[in-house]
Parts: sequence; C-alpha cells; structure tokens
Amino acid sequence: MYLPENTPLQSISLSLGYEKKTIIQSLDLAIKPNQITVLVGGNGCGKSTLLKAFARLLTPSAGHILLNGSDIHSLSGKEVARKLAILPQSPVAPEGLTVEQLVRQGRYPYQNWLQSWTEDDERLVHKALSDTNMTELSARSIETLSGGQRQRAWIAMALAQDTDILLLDEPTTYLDLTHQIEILDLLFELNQNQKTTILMVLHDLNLAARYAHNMIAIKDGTVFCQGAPENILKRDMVKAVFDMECHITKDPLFDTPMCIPYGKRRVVNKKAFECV
Amino acid sequence: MSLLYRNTAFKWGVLLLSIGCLIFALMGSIAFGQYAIPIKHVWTAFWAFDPQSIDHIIIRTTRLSRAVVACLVGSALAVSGVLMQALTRNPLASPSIFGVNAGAVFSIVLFSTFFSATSLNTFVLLAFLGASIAGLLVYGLGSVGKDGLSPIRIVLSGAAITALFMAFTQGILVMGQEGLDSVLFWVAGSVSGRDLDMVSPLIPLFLMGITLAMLAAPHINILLSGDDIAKGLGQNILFIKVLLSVLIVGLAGGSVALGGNIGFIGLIVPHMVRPIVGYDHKWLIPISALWGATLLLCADLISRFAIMPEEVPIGVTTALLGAPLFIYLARRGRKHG
Amino acid sequence: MDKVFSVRNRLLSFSMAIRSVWSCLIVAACFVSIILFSLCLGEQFISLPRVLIALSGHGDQDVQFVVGTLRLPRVLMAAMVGAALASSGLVLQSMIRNPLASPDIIGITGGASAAAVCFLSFFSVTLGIIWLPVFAIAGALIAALLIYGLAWNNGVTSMRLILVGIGVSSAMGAITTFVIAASPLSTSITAYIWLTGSVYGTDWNDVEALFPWLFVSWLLALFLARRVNTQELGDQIATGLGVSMQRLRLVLLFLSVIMAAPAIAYAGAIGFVGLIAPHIARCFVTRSFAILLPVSALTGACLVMLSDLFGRLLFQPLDIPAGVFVSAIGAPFFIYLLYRQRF
Repeated sequence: MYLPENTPLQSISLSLGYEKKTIIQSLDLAIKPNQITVLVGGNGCGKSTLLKAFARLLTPSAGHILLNGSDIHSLSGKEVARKLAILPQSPVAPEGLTVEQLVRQGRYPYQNWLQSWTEDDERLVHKALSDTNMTELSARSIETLSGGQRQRAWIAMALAQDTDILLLDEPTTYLDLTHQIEILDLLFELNQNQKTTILMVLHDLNLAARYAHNMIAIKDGTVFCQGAPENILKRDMVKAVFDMECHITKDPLFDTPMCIPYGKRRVVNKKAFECV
Repeated sequence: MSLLYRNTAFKWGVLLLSIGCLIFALMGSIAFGQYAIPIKHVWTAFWAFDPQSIDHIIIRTTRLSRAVVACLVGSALAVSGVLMQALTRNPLASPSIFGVNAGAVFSIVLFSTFFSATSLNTFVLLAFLGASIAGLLVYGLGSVGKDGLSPIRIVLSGAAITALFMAFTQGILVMGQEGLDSVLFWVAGSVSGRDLDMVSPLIPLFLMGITLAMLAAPHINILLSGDDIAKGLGQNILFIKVLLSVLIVGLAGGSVALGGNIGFIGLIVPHMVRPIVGYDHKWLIPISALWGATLLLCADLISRFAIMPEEVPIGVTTALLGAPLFIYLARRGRKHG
Repeated sequence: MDKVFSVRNRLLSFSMAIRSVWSCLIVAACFVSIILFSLCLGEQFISLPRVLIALSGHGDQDVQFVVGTLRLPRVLMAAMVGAALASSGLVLQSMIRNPLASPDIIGITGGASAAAVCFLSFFSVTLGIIWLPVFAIAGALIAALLIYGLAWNNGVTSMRLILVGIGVSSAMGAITTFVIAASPLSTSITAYIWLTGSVYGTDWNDVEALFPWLFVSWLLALFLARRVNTQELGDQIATGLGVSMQRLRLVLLFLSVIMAAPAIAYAGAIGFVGLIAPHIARCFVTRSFAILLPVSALTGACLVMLSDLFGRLLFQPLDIPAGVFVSAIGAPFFIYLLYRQRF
C-alpha cells in the first residue's frame, strides 16, 4: 500500500455504491494536512458520497479509508470522533434545543457515564462559542436563529469536538450570499489559527476557488484533476466536468481564478466573446 | 395498461364480470354455512317456496338477511372509501381509519344506553350524527396549522379520534353492563342477527346514496386534479366537498348502524379496483360498490368457517385482510396521493 | 445560560439546570399526594391519619384490609403502569425523533395485548402466571420488530414507522378481539380489561411481579441517557460524534418494549399515557433525557392513578376501567398537540 507521508486522511482503492449502482470505483485520494480542500463537481458526480465515506457515514463496498494510517472502520466510533468532525448537509436540531446545549453535545466523544461535565468540557465549549461569535446567542433556541447563525452554531458544535480534521457537506447551501461568505470566512480563519484540516463540498466554483488551498474536481466518480485552484481551474476542466463553456479571469479582489460561464443562447458583448 | 383505461368496452366487461362475481358470492353465502344447503334449494327457496322445508326457512330468514346486510354494508363502505380517498387525495383514507366509524358507534351506544333508543332507523340517524362529528373533528384537526392537511396528520388525528371514541364506547358498555356479545358487535362488527323486515326500509336509502355518488362522479374526477385547478375550471368546490362529506358520513354511518364497526373495506376495495378501471369515478364507484359487497360476503363466509362452530367477528377478518394492504401502501409512499 | 447545579470531582462530574431540579421535586410531591388521596377516597372514605396508621401496620383491622389489601396494591399498580408506559413513550419519542410516537401507535401495546390474551386463554393453566409478562414481552417484541422491519426501506423515516405501526396495531387489535371472542375468557370480566385497560382486582403478587421489570429497565435507560441525547441530533451527526446508531436503535426499541409490555400484561392496553406524559414533562424540565425520564414516569403514574380514582368514584357503585378516563384526558391533549403543530 502506498502511503504518502503526512496525510491524515486518504482513500485506497475505494469503491462505493448504493444498491446496484456503483458511484465510485477504485479511487485513491490523499487529503493534504492543515489545508482547506474543496471537492467540486456536477450534480450526482459522487462528491457528497465521497465525503460521507471519509466521514465513516457510508461503508465502502471495496477498498479502505485510512485515518492517520489506520483503517477508519477498525477504530471505534468515539476514537474516530475525537479526530474527525463531520457537519452533514441541512442538519436538523430538535425543537427547543438551545445553542449551548447543542455545542455541549460536541463533547460526547470525550464523556462517559461518570464524567459528563469536566473542566475541559466547559472550557472547550466556551471557546467554541467565542470562536464562532455565538456567545451572546448561546441561550437562544436554534430554530429562532437566522440561517448563518444556525450554521455557525453547528460549526461551534463541531469545534467543541476538538478535532484536527473537519468535514463539511455543502455548508453554504440554502444560505444567502452574506451568510455564505460569513461561514467561509469563519472556516478560513479556523484553518489559519488552528491549522485544522478542512475538507468540504461546495457547489459554487468561484467561492471554492477563492477559499481553497486545494481543489479536487470529481467527474463520474473519479478524480478528474486536483491541485491549487490557479493550476486547475481552466476552461477545459470546466468544460469536461460541468459541460459548460466559460471564460476564466482573475478575481480582482483576491487574485484567485474566477469562472464566468457562457451560457447557451444570449450573446451580449460580442467583442468579449471573440477575445477569448 | 393505460390504453385499456380508455377502452369503454373493457370497462363494461369488468362491470358485467363484477356483477357475475357478486351473484356467485351471494349464492355461496346463502348456501354455505354451519348447516350446508344444496345450491338447488337456494334457487327453489325463491321461486318455489315451501313453508315446510327447513332449508327454505333458513334461507329466507337468516341467510338472506345476512347476505343482504353484507351487500349493503360492503357496498356502502366501499363507496364511502372511494369518496374519502378522492376528497382527501389520500390513498390511506377510509371511514374506519379516519374515525368516522368510531364516531358513529359511539353515538349509537351512548344514546341506546342512556336514552333507550332501539329502532334501526333511529340508529341510522344517530350514526349519521356521530359520524359527522367525528369526521369534522378529524378533518378540522388535520387541517389547522401551518402545513395544512398533510396525509400523515389526518391519519394521526383519525387514530386519536378513533381511540377516544372507542374508549368512551367501551366505558359506556361497561356502565350499561352489556354482555360481551353486545360489546363485540359494536367493536368488531357483525352482519348477522338482523331481521329482514327491519333492514328492507333502509335499502332505498343505501341505493340512493350510491346513486348520488355515481351522479357526482364527473365532478369528483375534476376535484382530483387539485383545488386550484378545479376552481380554475369553474367548479364550485365547496358544494362538491360538502356533498361528498355528507355522502361519506351517510354511507359509513348507515353501515355502522347495520353492522357495527367493520373496518378496512373502504380501504381495500378502491385499491383493488383502481388498477383495473383507473381513476374515472363513473366506473370506479359502481364497480367498487359491487366488489365491496362481494368482499364482505367472502369475509363473512370466512368468518363463519374459520373456527366452527364459533364465529369470528367480521371486523376481525377484514382487519386481518386489510392491515397488510395498509402496511404495503404505507411502505410504498404516496405515489397516487 | 440556565443556572446550573453541578458536581465536579475526581470521580464524578455532571451538571443539571436548577429549574429542572425544582420541577422534579414538585412532581414527586404531586405523586405522593395523589397516592395518599387514592388511599383515602373510595367507596368508604378513610381519613388521612387513619390511612397512615393503617400503613404502619396498626389500627383497625378493617381499615388495614381496605387500605393495605384492596387499595394500596391497586394504587401502586396504577402508578407503576403509568410510569412504565410513560417511560416507554419517552424512549420511543426520542428514538424516532417524532413527538407523536408512543407504544400504542408503534404497535407495542397491540402486540403485548394479543400475546397476553393468548396466554390467558390457552396457556395459563399449563404454565404459571409468572410467564405472563414474558409472553407479553415476546408479543410486543415481535410486533415492534415487525413494524420496524416493515418500515425499513433503506432506513426508517418516522412517518413510515407511524403509518406501519397503525397498520400492525389494527391487526394486533383484531387478533386480540378474536382471541377474546373465541376463548373461555369471554365469560369473564377480564375480557374488558384487554379492550380498555384497568387495574381492577390487583393484588400484591401482581405488584411484586411487575416491579423488577420496571426497576431493571429504568437502570438501563439511565445508563443510556447521554447516548439518547446525542442521537436526537440526527443519524449522521450522531455517527459523527461516535454513537453507533444501528445498535443504539435496536437497544432502545428493546428497552421500550420491556418497559411497556409487562405493564400491559397486568393492566391491559391503557392508551395515550405513553404519548402525553412525556409531553407534559417537557413543559417543566429541560430536554436532557436523564431528567425527563423520572419526571415523565412520575407524570404518567399520576395520570393513571387519577384516572383510576375517577373510575372508582364517579359512577359508584360501578368501577369504570382506568383506560377510559386516560383516553378522556389523553385524546383531547393529543388533539391539542396536533393543533399546536407539535411535529
């Protein structure tokens, strides 16, 4: 087995499927530590499935997922939960649950019957709340919060888990632009300050390019290409993965690549089209 | 299969076949029983009545009344089920699940225990009253709130109202110190023990109810596409819905007055018939009525023979037949909803 | 943040909201008062001091008989049954994550009743009565697994579970009615029990037989409390936090069965307690399972005891089964729940 050095999370010959359909076939993928990696791809390409497999939510039909070198399914649930936190798509909180109660749940992997509220627990919960700027809102119940606040609460819970790796499945779906940026900025800061390895699925290509250190483009259950956004976000990649003609330019604020899709019918600025 | 739906000749064929099956079941119901009677005697009992023959007497009294009651109740419940499923656009709807039967039982038991009502006609009126109240409660409950009338809410309110009324009914039966037979009649139903003289005045009522339902069929078809579309096509939705509700309550209530709490017929029959004749209620209603009668006759036969010489309450048989279907439908999800 | 009461030392650390602790004490006080009320009231009114004297084993022999042999076992049985059904309902509501779940709707009640009447009709002569709860548990377990299995279609949604539960309950109810009709039971008063639920005629043997089941199941439930809290967040989050969901779900299902089934075996199918007692409890205490469990149990106990009391008092000399009054209180409450869109 080939083990690239220093990778906390990787898949070896991973195959995944639901019922009779195979979604991912024999995939080898290593996630770089301490960086933000984003999975992008069209609908149904398998990126969410892949993320769930990494998070131990799906069992592979073949192959292995290695967490710090050990097969993730050979470790106990709590062991994995101390190293890896997952935030799935659209989580639902029970009615009446307050932010603080939710964040406290993040300490579950460290608690047992006798010790359910140690000093560490208390400290880390408070830290998680302040890192996500949720301390003033901690007594509010989750359903009364705005979309962005709610997502921050869930991220606070994942932070309370005190893990090196954080997995997020489309954390910005259903959020308006302001809240999308709010969440992504938060994750970026986390990565900067605590060197957390972040692996997430994003559907917005431009936001992915702006925030990712690495992008992995998935097409039909295989890795089409991977690398830094400026290296891989190119016309041929977008055409191949999304079946869309586009123009790649530079984001004027962040210097990261930006994709401007052509679309099918309207041609407004003929000259611009011809220049590319 | 969908091509066949448009084929009127096919539907006529199904109708005739259904009538044939019903007659067959009728003959069987009258002929078989604890005391076996040759089919020939069944025939002669009607055309060449011999007052001396025991066979003929049995046929004309107990067997016939039983068969008639089964036909009336079965067809009424089936049509009530069809209407209910159309009205609520919920394939799980039926008078027993939505508490309508339980309401009818409760009001009859209440008034007969405390106010000594005994005539069958009074029972029918009381059943109508009780069924309406229960139906309104269930429908109202299921509709309030932000999501409105969702299928699961109405099923749950039906379950609650049914449990409530059945508990009260049993309490009253305990207070009235009724025997277990009486309790079982109301809780689980029976089509036997009714005097044909008492039943015959009700026959026109049942037929009228079913005929009205058939006449309303084209309107029901339109209603199925959704309130907004029906309104857009100019239909007076409120009137149709009220009419359907009255018919549902009337048919279900009448069935309860005659036969006690018999469940699941209203659920099973529409699901049996719809795959064959489609959603056109002009055909669905009469054919469901025929098959409701046939099914209940068969259930009655099973009830008579299962644990001879005792009889299984007919509601038990229909529940044991119907519950698996209900579960199957629940598993499948609401594709036809 | 709620004011908390916390304990922290080398061995033990936990915290509880102060409000919940007070609520718990108040409900416990209600519980004790209702017991005393039930012992005083009845066909013959016995004043509180005399009741207390009788309980301590002194005083008038007649009073001791009424209090100690007639009323006390009945009241205790009502309390235990209410507590058991309420706990079972709480476990189910947490596991299925739907506030409308309860042992009646999930078919546990139906399965237990069907098995219990089968036992009483066919086996009670050959096997000892000690086997009754075992039969009930077996019946409830079969029903619960049947429902869970039938509702399984790549996972279980709460909606499908409830619908399948209604179907299986109807079938179980039909079987129960069938067995009552077809058996020697039909001549006795016990037939009514199975249709509505009643604690009439309880003696100390019954009480002693039921108590161990309750005790053990509560211990197990308290042990699982934190896991239950966590799994309420959803399958994926809970798995991410380290809970093994499939195993937990089966254990919780089993737990709710062994809580409810023995109670049903002795008192019949009392409906609605498992549904509404947890909801009432939720109004008073925080969501933590460890505190909801005792408060729900006490609430359920109070509910059934009150219903039995009304049944004894309101229509004297008749004894209306407790199940009727529980439904009378329970169904409107359920209706209120639906109205408030509590799911």
